[in-house]
Amino acid sequence: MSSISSSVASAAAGPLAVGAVLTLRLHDPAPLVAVPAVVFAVAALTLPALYIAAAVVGAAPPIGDVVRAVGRALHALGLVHLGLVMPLAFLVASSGSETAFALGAIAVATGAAIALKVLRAALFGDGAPAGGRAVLFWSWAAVALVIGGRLFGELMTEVVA
Amino acid sequence: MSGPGVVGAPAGGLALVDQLLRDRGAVLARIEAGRGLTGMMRVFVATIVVGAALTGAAMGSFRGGAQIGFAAIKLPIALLGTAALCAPALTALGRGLGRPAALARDLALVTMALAVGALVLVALVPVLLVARAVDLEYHGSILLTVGVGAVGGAAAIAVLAGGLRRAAVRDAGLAAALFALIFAVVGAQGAWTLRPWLVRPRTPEVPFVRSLEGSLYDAVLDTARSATGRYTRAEAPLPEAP
Repeated sequence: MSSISSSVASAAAGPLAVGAVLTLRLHDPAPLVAVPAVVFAVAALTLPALYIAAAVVGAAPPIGDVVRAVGRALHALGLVHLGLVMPLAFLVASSGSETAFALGAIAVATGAAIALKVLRAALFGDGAPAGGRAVLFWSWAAVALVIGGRLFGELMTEVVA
Repeated sequence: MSGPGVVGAPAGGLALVDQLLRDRGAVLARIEAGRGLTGMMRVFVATIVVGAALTGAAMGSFRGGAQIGFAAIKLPIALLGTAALCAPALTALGRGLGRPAALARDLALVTMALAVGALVLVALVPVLLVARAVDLEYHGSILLTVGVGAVGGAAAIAVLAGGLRRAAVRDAGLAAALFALIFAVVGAQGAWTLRPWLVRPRTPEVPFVRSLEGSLYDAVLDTARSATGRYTRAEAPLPEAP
């Protein structure tokens, strides 16, 4: 239980820190809410679909393993975001608002990409998932990234404008 | 050339610099073992400062005068500042990919890679000075300086990637590539912030740094817009009358 709560804590701390950097640069509190909201909303809305689809095709690990894999992936996402905070803060300090938004989006996407890699390894092992599982996982990942990107864009558009 | 990479006796000062050039495997093994990291980092940082200062001075010789000293001071600041900003990102990427926490070792590896890069830059100083001797024009000198920096950067990245692979870090290539990208982006912005390096011939006074005019990436976006006929200024600024 404690490992789950530490995963959730770091998963929240990373996006919060990235959001705080953007908030300071854009002088608007929206990113402070938007970045963690996108991470957790996309996870909450799309992960059940991955589990159900994997279970239907007989590729899903037990639910407990899935929960642990998700925790590990969110933990990785939070750590990567925390690691990117200092470079991001330096870069956005002298950037215009559009460039700051783009750099923030790249930082968020980098964390998401690492989290997907960790999730895939935790669910299906270190080797690339074979055949149908690979198609299933990467299709789901593409959909999740599109939804996340759209949500992030919509939440941030007014701030940048 | 990398040697067998045994964990040798601690080398200090110039002996460690010599080992960096002749037997990087042994230095990497010491970093991996976590022995004498503080002492080694002190030597690496000194190597970066001296190497970057010499290279900066050679760059500043394009304009001469105070710019030699300015560039000699600014280049070590740019390199070490970038390392300080980016080293935690390497640790975070590694941990995210499932490696145990190792901030001190990562910092040692980053400074080692930069020290090798700085030594490569020093080896290329004669190229910059030859360009100065044959009065290579401003834009040619800029391209040459960027090329020299790219060679030094590539050497540093190769050392970093080798160090991560040697430590059997999972996804070492991915971690090294991402870190190199972050380092390049932050380093480019750092160098942009600390301009000028060569100083345009028509500039009457040499400033230590220019006033802040947005980021490098804003400038790239503006240039891309201008290239497609979308201008954000009514007219280009003209040089002030002397």
